[in-house]
Amino acid sequence: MADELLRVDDLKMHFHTRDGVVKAVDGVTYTLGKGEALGVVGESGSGKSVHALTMMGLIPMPPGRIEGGDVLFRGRSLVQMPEAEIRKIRGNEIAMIFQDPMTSLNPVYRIGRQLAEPLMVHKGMSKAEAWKRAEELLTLVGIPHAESRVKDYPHQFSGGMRQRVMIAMALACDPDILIADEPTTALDVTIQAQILELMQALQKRTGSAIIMITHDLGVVADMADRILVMYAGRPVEYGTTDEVFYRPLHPYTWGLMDSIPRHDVTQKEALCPIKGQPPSLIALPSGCTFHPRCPYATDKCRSEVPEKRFVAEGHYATCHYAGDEGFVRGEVECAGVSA
Amino acid sequence: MLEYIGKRLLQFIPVFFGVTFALFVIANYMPGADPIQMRYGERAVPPQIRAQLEEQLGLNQPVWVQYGKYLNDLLHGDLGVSNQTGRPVSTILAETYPYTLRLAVFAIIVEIIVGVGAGIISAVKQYSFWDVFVTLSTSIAVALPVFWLGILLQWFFGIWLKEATGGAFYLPISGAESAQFGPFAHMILPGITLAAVSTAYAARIMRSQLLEVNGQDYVRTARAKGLSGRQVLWKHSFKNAMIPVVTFIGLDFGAMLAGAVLTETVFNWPGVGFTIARAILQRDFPIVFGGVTVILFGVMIVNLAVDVSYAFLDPRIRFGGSEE
Amino acid sequence: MTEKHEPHVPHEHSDPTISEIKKEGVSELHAHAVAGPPPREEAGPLGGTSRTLWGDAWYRLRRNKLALAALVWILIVAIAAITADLWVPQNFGDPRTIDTQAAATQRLLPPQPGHPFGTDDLGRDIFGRVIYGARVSLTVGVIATAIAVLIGVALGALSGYYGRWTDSVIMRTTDIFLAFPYILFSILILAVVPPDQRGIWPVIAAIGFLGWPTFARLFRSSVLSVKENDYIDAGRALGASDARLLFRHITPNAIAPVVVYATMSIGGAILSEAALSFLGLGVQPPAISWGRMIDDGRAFLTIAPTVVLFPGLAILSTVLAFTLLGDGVRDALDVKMKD
Repeated sequence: MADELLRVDDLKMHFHTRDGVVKAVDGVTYTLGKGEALGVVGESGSGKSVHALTMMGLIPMPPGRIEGGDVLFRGRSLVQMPEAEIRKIRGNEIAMIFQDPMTSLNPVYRIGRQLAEPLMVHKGMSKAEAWKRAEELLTLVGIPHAESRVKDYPHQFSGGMRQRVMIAMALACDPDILIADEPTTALDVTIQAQILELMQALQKRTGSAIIMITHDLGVVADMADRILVMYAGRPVEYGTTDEVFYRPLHPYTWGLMDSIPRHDVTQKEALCPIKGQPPSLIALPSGCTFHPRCPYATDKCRSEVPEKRFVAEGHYATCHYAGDEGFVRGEVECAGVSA
Repeated sequence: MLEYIGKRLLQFIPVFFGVTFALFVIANYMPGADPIQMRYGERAVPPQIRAQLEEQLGLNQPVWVQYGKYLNDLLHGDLGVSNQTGRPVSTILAETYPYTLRLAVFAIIVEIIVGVGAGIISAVKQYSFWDVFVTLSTSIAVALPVFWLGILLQWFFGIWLKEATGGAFYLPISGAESAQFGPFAHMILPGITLAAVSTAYAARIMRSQLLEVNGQDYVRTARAKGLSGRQVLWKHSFKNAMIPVVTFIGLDFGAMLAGAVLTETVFNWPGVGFTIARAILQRDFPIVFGGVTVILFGVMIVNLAVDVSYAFLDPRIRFGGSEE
Repeated sequence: MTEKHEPHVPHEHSDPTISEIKKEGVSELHAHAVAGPPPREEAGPLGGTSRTLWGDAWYRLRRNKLALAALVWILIVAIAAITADLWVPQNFGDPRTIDTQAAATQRLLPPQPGHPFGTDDLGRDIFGRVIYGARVSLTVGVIATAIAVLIGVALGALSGYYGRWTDSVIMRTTDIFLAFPYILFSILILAVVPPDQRGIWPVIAAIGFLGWPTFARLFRSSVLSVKENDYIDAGRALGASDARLLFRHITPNAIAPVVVYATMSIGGAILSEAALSFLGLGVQPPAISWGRMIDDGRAFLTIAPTVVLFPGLAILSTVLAFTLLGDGVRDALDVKMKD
């Protein structure tokens, strides 16, 4: 792709611990174009956050170790880049915001200083210039009275405002890619919507690509161009938002779609969660990691690890039967109690 | 912030009264103790003198009157007189306090440089040889009787070294100054002894604070912004980790004033502690009591100062609560 | 019950941030004080394997080599001290009495066969004296700690359980006690005792009586956490009286940090006793104390440093053993709680 910014190719990162090897990221593959929005969804422990941290080189290596694959940013390999090089990219060309705004800001420094930091480090701005730009950034993310607020400390902001500050900090150097790791999970529902709106608006305005990591399908439905569904460290399905929502291929995705509570359904229907629990990443099931919870599992599923099967260009699912004639979503018994 | 400081000052008041009252009770009402004998000295008190002293000390007055008198004397700096020399206790203490202070300051400086430094290196190079060494030696230091350490140092640096180098190189082990060595040389061994255990604690706390802070989210944010390891350590981790450590060291100063009793005894360092220890042996109770009182007050004031200073160190307290 | 250099933190209970600087272990302890539901006996698949909190902790403790070594050392010292009458005088001469002949001919001998630690200035065998000295140290350590624990736990329980005014009063009192190093207080108290009445019991009383505040604080913290658990409410709903709740439900779960700290405190008490005896405030001759031995030996430092060396090593090794044992107990209980 001409506009390809980021290419993740079968990325594998495992943790080597005393209790065993944790296969936290196991074969993630996708591409990200300029200005594109990718939603990475999955349950806790699916590896969605860890894969992003791996790309940024923020995973301590021991105990982590890259076991294979590559991440190409503008053609350069992030995996093989030495620390000094990748540092120039962090916060500069690729920026990240994290889940909990309460703890993600340093309590002993003023907001202005924390905003100015990446500017001074990456863009060589003077302190005065950087602080001025910090003020502008605060206004950009919708914080009023920026000139006085910029001198405040994090504890003087509310949760939602702190997240805005985090966003401002990430956007300071005009990154090409913004990685948002569950940016709204720790916030009030009402604030969540505001923050998401803000991020969408900013994305359009700055033209940066965004990787939105979340467990909430509703969030990606709105924002994402493409979706990557992850399960137990493995990529389970990848495609455009339309494809994943309306023509999903993988039983796990089907289960996810079924489990979304819907307010347009008039009769009383039980919420339908996927039965079972996600597996421990140290003791993964054999073959397809999803087979214990899959209503369609066969012997092949139990013994062989499925490959990525492409149904169309850029739409794959990691299932032996994905896209096969007749392999469609059926009626599945609900695990919950009927109303 | 003012609210915080005000609260602390208010809390100090009951502590002040509690402490002085406890001291008062100990001085006069301990079971089995004879307050008059204690002030008189070793020999038995003749009956006429006893009656006289009773009157003088107001021992037949109601408790609160006695306490009031005691507080009054205290605030005027009257701590009684030594029953050995007859000199006012406050004068004796005033002469000796500066020595203790000097020693404590020296020890604190050692603690800061060595303790905090060791803690930082230990945390930054976790699991390295240095880290293991620090962890081990601090574990041992915590179990070490300080006075024994002092004696060992005396033996090694003062006696053995002198012999081994044929009298060429050794350190003074007694007193505060002498003909051959200036006052500073004399301070080295007792200072190190006094600092030893505190330094071990400081190293441990610095290390654990730094490790804890390193696991915090805002450190991850700093790394994600592209800061180098060194920048992250000094600008983000350290400043946060230091706050409890500074408070610890501040409070420890008070502990040093107290621990000086043992160290000064070992090295014959003429400070308050030494004076107290000698007074114990001589049954010069007013000095023991006065000395302990003075040190206690020193500690209380230092603690209060540390408490209050905390408000300045932590911006969360300095600048009040959150805004919506 | 702690190092004389341990800073006692004032007002800890009202300001959680300052509490972080308390000695390691103590602050971690009450963070781990939250236990789950009361320990249940479970019959394992093989029948009869009990899995109570304490059973499991004991199992883990056994696996901790360092703590085990510490425990063995303590037992060795204790047994040696208790049985001393049976074997010390026979082999090394009775170190409690003065043999005028030995005093004349056998003073200050260096370590040699027959006198593994040498002799002191009165011809007495130092090894024998060290063994007898252990009696005083261990007795003071254990009993003083026991006193402090009993008082502290009782007051801490009342404080934590009833709250309000009781709590305020008790906590204020601990503030006063903890405001400064208690060695000064012990010196004062013991200096007041007339010399002919000094001995082991005033020392025990002083150390024990001054040591309760830390236990009260610790236990109170625990009680406060445990109090919030649902099974307490359930007990109350079933009509259990306050006392019953306190004794049978709250205490077993909240007591763990106290057990850990008590173990370490024994070490602290031993150090305190040594210091006080060194100053002449502890046991008097002919009773033997390690601290006293060190003081006596000071005069002969140039001629026979071993007189000072061995009692000091005895103190160091015993206190270290209690500290390591305490660490081990903490780890053993801690892991179980984290489950």
